[in-house]
Amino acid sequence: MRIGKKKIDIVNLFIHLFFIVISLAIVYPFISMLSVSLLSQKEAMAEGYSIWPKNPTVESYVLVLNNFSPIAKALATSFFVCVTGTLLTVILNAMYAYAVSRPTFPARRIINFILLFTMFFGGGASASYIVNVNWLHLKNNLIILIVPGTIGAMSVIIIRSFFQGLPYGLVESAKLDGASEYQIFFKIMIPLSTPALGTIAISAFIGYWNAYYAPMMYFDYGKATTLSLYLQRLMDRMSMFADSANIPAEMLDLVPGEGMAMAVACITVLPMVFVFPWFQKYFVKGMAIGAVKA
Amino acid sequence: MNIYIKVCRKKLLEFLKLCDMIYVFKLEVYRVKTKALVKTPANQASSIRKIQRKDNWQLFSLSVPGLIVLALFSYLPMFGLVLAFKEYRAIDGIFGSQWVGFDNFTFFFTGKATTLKRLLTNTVTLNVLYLAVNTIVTIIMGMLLFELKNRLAIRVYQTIVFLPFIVSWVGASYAIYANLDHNNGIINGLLKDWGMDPVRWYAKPEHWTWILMICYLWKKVGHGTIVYYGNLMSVDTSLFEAATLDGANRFQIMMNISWPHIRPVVISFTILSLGGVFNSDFGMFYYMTNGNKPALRPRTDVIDTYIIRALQEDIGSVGMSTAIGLMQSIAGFIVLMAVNKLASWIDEKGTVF
Amino acid sequence: MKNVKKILALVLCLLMVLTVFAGCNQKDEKANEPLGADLTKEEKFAEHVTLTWCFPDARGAADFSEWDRIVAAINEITMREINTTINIEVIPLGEYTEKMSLKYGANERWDVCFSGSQWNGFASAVSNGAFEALTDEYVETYLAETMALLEPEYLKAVTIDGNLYGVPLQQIYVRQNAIKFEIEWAEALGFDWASVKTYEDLEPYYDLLLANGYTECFMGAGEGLMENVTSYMGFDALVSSVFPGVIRVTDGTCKVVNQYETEEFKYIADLMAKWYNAGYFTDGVAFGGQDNPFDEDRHPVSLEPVKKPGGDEIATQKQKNDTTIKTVPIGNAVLTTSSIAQTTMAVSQNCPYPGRALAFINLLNTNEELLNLICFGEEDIDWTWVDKDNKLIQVEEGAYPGNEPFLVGNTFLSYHVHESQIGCWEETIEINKNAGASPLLGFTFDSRPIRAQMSTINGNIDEYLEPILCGMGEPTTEAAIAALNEFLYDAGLQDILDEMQRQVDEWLENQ
Repeated sequence: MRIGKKKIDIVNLFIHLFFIVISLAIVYPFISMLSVSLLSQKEAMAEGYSIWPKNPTVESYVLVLNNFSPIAKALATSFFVCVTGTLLTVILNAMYAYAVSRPTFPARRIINFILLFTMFFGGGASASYIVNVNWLHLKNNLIILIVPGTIGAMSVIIIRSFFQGLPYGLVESAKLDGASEYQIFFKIMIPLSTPALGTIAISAFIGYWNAYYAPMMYFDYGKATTLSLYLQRLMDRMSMFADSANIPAEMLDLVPGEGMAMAVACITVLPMVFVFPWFQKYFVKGMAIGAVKA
Repeated sequence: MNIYIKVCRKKLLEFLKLCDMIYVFKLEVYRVKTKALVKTPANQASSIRKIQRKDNWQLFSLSVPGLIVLALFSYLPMFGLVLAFKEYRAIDGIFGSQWVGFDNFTFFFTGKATTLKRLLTNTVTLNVLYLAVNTIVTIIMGMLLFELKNRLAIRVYQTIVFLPFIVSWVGASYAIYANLDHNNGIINGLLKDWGMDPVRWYAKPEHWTWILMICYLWKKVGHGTIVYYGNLMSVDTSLFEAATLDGANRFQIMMNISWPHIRPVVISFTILSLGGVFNSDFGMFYYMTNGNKPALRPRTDVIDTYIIRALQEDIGSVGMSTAIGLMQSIAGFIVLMAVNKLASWIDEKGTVF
Repeated sequence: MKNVKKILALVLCLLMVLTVFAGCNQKDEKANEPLGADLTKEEKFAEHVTLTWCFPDARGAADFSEWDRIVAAINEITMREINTTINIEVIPLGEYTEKMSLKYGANERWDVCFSGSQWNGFASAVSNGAFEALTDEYVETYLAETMALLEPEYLKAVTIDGNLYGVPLQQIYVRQNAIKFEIEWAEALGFDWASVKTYEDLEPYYDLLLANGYTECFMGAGEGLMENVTSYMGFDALVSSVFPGVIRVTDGTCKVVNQYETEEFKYIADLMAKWYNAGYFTDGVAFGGQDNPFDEDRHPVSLEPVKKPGGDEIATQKQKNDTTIKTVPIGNAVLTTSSIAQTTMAVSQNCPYPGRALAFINLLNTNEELLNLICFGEEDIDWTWVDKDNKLIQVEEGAYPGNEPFLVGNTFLSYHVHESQIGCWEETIEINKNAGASPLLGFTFDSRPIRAQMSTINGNIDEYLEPILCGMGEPTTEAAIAALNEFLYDAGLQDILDEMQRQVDEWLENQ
């Protein structure tokens, strides 16, 4: 950093400016979601949507969250599935990626092909259901929420590229020191690859977090629900409720509109805002160059 | 400028040579050791093979858990693909249903040719356009983010750009509706405040190529940025130090060290995405257009949205949707193979298999 | 090449393993149930049986903290009456169709399920072979009481190829389109809403509204309009109100025509164009505005696909702007296959006890206590009597959310929650009885032979139809209709119409 400190600052300033503008653009839809979720129905009817509601109210949130115990249960399931699923995803993909990243491994092309093929060809919902329920007997079993989505072509490629990007000779020299492939993988590759693994982890976590199809199809009602499925069902039921003939009139005031949908969207996003920075410490960790020179 | 690049390259080459030398040296040592251990040439060959075989078995065993998952949850259900050639009747099961040959494939080609042409054009051009723009934007953002050194700022930017990745398209569709709705929408409200005519967004297909592009970028840019940023973490920092010492400016460093470093993963991603060029992000094309509004279809109708409309819940629809899915997959797979071949001429490292 | 061979070998191996697996799917044997109309209750229900009922949950009944108490109470009744334990498999209504179709495919064990037009479609489930054909012996032995309540023609709607596949749940079967008024607006402007007989009668009212500062008077333009005008135009649609292929209910010929070529459709299209040009609705109605939930409270006039007794009072209760709703029926009242088959109860083809399943369905259709227990909960705990003679109850606040009677059993047995509902069931029964049946009542179209053409039409028709029904056909309404028909015939409409006519003729012959 010797080439004129001032110059660099200006460039940095521009980069910061660029990211600030982009961040604002990205945050804007969230703000509009948040503002609609805080809008009372009456105000929306009278004046339309606006970014700053005049009389913000949390009635939508109260409505969504008023049933505490099922939400807590769903949250616990979601959390368990997310954590175990993410761990499993990271480790399985990393192992798979390591195998296919090694140029000396003769089966790497076919193993890679086996994975890529599944990206394009699948048996469809009926066949999967028959396999999972009739053959593997995984109905009402948390395994069905965790295991099937673990291996993915994209994730394997991200990790593989990272492995391949590591300096040449890193593996070879370790090898000549007598390390087995397992040792190289667990002792060298994994610790060096936290940025790539972090990337996989965060997207896996979100995938599990948003999953609602599998818990809906493979679990009997009341057995286990993830938070996203719980919220989805809540929304469905509310709209049914509004059309129902037999509910007392005073309960109709409880039937919400857009506001509740937005509240649900905000609630889904919120935990991620806290989880994300935790994953981030892995992204920011650079690689220690000393590993090669030694 | 050239001189800096040359210096960089030289440094890199020197470094690689060093690695190579260490490698060759150790290999020699290894050979001598093994030579000392084994007496006959036949034994020597077999013992090296033995070591190699052991390594290969270890590598293979690492991939076994993944292979098991794939076999159970991806390959076992693949028998469902025969439905493309059958008229599915639930009670007869997948194997018992009647064979109908290629009947399930015909529906996509009946009716006016213009409809089919529009579907294919929209699907391919929109996918390619969005993919291209997204790739460029994410590469730039990833590399720029890597230039920053302030950790707090990096964290904040990363979190923000990544947020939309979490939101489902259904959730996002509410946000866009709140903005674009004709009567109550925020944007039309602003337009009115500024004395301009409100725009009927949901009746003007010509705007939607760009509206959807913004949505696409909004949702996907964060993920790409973080992937590329993460990949840059594996660059040997000594290269940057060397280049800086030799007086290369930041742009040169970016172009000659950072970019070549992420190029393989960029190429891999592009190849994979191009393989999906006949499949679209259904969620975006369906929910963002307010349930696939007829008025917007000239610019936003894609194969996946068409299938949902055409195949309503009825007997035979399972077979037909499997058939069209199979066609999309095969076409996509062919594209993938072709692009992969192409990429192997540019950068062997970037190929996906 | 080597790789390809390896993969092929792998795939082949897998397929072989699969075929072995697939052979394992076995059908349950039917149990030997006593048959005979004159058997006593003890003879019929000597054996204890457990049945699985796929329960469509519309309001989150199963989330109720004391759901187990409700289930226990249900089982107490079923044990007492038919010596049967009911295993209730709760499925939220929004997931019902998807879950059931996967169950059919996987040959999963279930015994009784709900089937209707919107959820778990009846015709499609039958053609998928999911339902047991109910033989006369079973029906006479186990379903006699319910059969006594049903008119013979209702059963025609759930009979396909001569086999009875379900039990229609009683509710409003008649299809008659209606116009819905918020009468305060009309009365303030001095418009006589009650005398409206046709759509054109609305025009003076719209002019009045426009003169008094309303901008969007007519809600209902667009594709959804078809549902509201099918019976108004005197049609019975073979597939759906939008899909081409109808017969005229009134002329008795059973000739299948394309409704988009008829004078009746042209009349509606022209009317929409006229209204659009007169400013009765803006194009915002067609493009996005319609979906806006916040507009709900400003509808002086809207359309209602079905006129039902007691409906006005309930709708009025729901109005947030304190207006009074009145609906005026227009056009013909008609019974059609789909209007009856929209709420049915069916028995699984792999239910080992079809007789007992029917006995349970019979109970849901005749046992007032059971139906209301499921729909409202237990007396004095979840609700209390207000007027026992008139079956009026007061539901406890925050108690059991219950379920919709039409998803469970005979709606006419359910209690009233509003005073205004008293007497509406009797009225509905009368309306159902007196309505004219469509000549095609009992006919179910089998779309298999022409599904390719049908899907092409399904995929594109709304794009042509939407502008016409919004009164914005380009460049003229006639040209737009011509373009619509050109598209339809390009997609193979002639084949479809021929096939429809062939099936109708064949069906008529077998009557």
